Amino acid sequence: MTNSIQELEYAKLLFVIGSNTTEAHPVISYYIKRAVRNGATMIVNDPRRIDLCQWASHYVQINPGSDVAYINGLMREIIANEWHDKVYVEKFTEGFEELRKTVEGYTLERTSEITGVSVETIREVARILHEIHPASVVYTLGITEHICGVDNVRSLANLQMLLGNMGFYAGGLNPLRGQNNVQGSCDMGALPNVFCGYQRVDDSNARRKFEKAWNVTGLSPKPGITMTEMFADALHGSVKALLIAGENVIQTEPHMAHTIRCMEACEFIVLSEIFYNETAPYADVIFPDRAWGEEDGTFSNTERRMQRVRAAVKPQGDARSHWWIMNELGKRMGVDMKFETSNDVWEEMRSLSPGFNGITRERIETIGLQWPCPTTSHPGTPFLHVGGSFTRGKGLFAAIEYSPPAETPDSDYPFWLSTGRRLWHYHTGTQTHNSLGMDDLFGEELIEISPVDAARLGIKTGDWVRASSRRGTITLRAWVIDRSPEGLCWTSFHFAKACANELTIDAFDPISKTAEYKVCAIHLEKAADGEPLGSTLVPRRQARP
Amino acid sequence: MELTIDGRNVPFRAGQTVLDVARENGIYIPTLCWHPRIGPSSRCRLCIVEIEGTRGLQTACSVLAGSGITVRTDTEIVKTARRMTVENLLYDGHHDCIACEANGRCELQDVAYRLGIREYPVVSEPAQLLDDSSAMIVMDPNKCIVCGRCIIACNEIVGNDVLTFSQRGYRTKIVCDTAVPMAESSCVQCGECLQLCPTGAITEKKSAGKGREWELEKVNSTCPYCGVGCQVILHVDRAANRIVRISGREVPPNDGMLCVKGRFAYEFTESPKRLTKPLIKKDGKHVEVSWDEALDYTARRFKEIKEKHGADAFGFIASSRSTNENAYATMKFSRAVIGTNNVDNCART
Amino acid sequence: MSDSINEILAQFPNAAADKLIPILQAIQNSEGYLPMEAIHAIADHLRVPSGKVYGVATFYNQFRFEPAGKNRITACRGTACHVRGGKNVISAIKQYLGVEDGETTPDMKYTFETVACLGACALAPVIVVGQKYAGKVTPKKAVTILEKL
Repeated sequence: MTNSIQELEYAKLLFVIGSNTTEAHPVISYYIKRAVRNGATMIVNDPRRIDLCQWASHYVQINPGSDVAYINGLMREIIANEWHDKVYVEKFTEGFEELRKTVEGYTLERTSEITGVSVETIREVARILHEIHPASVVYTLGITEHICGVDNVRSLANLQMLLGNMGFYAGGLNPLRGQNNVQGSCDMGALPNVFCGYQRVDDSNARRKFEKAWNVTGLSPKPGITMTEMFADALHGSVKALLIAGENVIQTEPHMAHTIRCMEACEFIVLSEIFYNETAPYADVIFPDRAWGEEDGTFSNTERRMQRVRAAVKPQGDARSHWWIMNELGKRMGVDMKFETSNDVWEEMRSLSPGFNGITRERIETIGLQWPCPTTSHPGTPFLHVGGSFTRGKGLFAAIEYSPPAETPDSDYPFWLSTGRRLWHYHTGTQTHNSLGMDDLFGEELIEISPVDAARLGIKTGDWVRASSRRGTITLRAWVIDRSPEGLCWTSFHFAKACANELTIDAFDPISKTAEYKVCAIHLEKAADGEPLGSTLVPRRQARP
Repeated sequence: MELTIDGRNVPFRAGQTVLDVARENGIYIPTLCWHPRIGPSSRCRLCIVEIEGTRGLQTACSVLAGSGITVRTDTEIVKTARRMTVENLLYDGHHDCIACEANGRCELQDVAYRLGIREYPVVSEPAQLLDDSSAMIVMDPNKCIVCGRCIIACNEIVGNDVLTFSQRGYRTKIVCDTAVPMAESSCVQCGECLQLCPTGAITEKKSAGKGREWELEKVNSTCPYCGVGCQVILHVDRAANRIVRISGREVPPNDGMLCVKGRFAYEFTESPKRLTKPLIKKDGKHVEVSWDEALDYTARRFKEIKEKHGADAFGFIASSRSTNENAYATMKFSRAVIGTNNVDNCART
Repeated sequence: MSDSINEILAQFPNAAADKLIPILQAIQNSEGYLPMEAIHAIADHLRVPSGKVYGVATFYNQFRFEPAGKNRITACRGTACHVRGGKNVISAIKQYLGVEDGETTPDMKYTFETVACLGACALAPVIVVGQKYAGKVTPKKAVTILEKL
């Protein structure tokens, strides 16, 4: 997030796109709802009529995967009416002319045709974006999990720069990150191209610094490969060994059958895990890891706030911290990383990361600090790009054309399938399924089907349906609900028994290598009559109409 | 600016209430419906004080401090009125502290103690049925003092709009939606109501009987679920090595608020299904081995693969669920020990 | 959903929450009570949580949630009526109808209720049958009135 979570409560205009906030980030949804109560205008843009729509002043139903066309259409309307922030564009950005030329092709009519949004609605949304400043753009995986995910994000950045909304309190571009420490893993340099603090591996100065600090030579200047490439390369034979720390990849990766082939092909797989999950059978070695609650350390949240996590209970059995495992393996391979406590790791990281240097454990004892925080007297940074200053100098507009999803419905696979998270569970459920009562709240996966499609197929809530894509088939019960528009089904990957990722497509964004979890094509048929969902299974949704 | 409370001159800032000033200066004024995150609602009538020159008793939570005013918090009239209010609350409900989950963290119990109330009848049979239909939350109307904190919590703080007052006067009752059992209501089990309930009227179902407030150690931490990074307090039974309950810390980014996962999905750490010993696959089956064996074996295989296929034949995936320290260690291991930049995390899923 | 409820809601197009009480009254006038489905329909119509509608509806004595009998008999238990023998009148009515306060006879002919004061103390004891007030009622007179219905 360029801005802070609590600023959302004071936003004047919220533009939410591809974020099912009430389920995926409930606490952020509380602030958003409070903003609406405070009088904020909220535009929710999503293919599904998600529960947050009940608080929205405007709900825009867009076709799956049509985000770039939609944003371009909005920008064309804004520029055509001279509603963009000309001073901001002139002073703080470059590439405007090219952007103008590209979006020129997205006339109201063409945009409407691609996105399914009416011409009047596009006009109305553009007018609101012009009238209320600053707007806070909030997005989640509905934007990034597409083959055009990077394009989607850059389109939103274009929109915010065009409107002059970057660098202001309660404005900015705010991705809500999915996992507790996905921000932190990136901050720590668990990425193929950067060390901790986003210092590039192809920068020889950075390498020299790390070589000296780590007392090693010859750090590789060649950026590595991403996780999805590691799997593909395992299948092709160039990757021989994988070490996976705490991710149930069989269930989380798209196209499960493909992931299984990759795992089977890999010569040596090491896991560091807390449960014997669906990925475990493929491992050669499994280290029992310490779980949250047993582990001392820090997380970075979605607003770049580094916060303390503390050990509250003794670890189960012989479980050890992952950093200890790494340290032990290092010693056995001739490099002593010299970690004795988790704070040793933190201190080393801090000394090597200028942006995090000011964040000592003492300073975040009670309240976390937001990076950049270069010195121990720096107060941290609640929002970035103050007044329009960007890291690279001027903000660069990217002229982007719309491209359709990798797979679209046809006569064999006539439905869109979109996937995501439910309020009641987390990812593959290794934590939530093993916590008391969570399965009473939501105990089996359901596929959401629109009332129109359900009526046509003779399906009612509780019936068993078979959902198939070109990659696999799952059988699960139906939930007929108007959250889904006609032609679109939705389900999650929380349950191994009926996991959406048996169906999802292994098509990736060429830059981020993120898979297109949000759209693929499926075939749907009724398998058997089912009982109505029992009282403990009745899917709850918030009652507000 | 100064005002006088119980004969003491105390300073105040513009916008402060008499209650704020008293609390800041260590002067005891009891409250039940007031809470820092709720503000004044003047329902419970416990913060009443005498203010010179005004008629009757005033509620300190809603009267702004003013220069030169004289406040008395300890007169007989004030004490009698407060005592009567609390006694009425105690007579009206079923306040059996021994059995109550909130014993030790009950604000009603605290004010009764402070006001020197020694006797009150505990009826043997509670008049109203409790609602334990939902997975996580128990509502006991017999312990409800109708202070309205849960209503504000549910409707204004988290905006879930489930709890509401029904009826009026002494029949007033807090219900879910249209007075349906909580399990059948639109409640999403975020638990904000129980975090702000001053008595045992709304409590955690799973923690019942597992430890008194004063026996549990409080450990500050960060929620392990989504990227919001909510700050939590873990209430820990050290002897049993168990997290008994979780509450929200009232600091950024969540200001005390949590969701169903953050507040209630914590037992996975003590699950009997946890991995507790290193495993190595031998003849197609995973067998338990010692740490030394697992580490030696892994190091040997890593060395072999590195020698035979080079550093770029490795792939490292750090967990986005684990700590920064663990991610850094994975990153350093892949680069400094193996010598490859093939390190990534699950940011892409 | 009954058509009559939808018709009533259609008379309040684009209504905001301030129309809640008029809508509740209109539905009760038409249906004789507020069916639970009406509470949910009103909530949808006004875009407010169902609990808010329920809370307001239960706050006021004028709204009822059970179907009422054809004849509604209301007896006053206010101070003036009480000292003039209102209690005996109430007992007589209960005995005659075989119902308690707030109940409806199984044949759905009579609903009996008491209220704290009808504001007609000069006529104490007072009962109201339908829209008609009857004053200076005795137990005997009350039964006679009921027999005539």
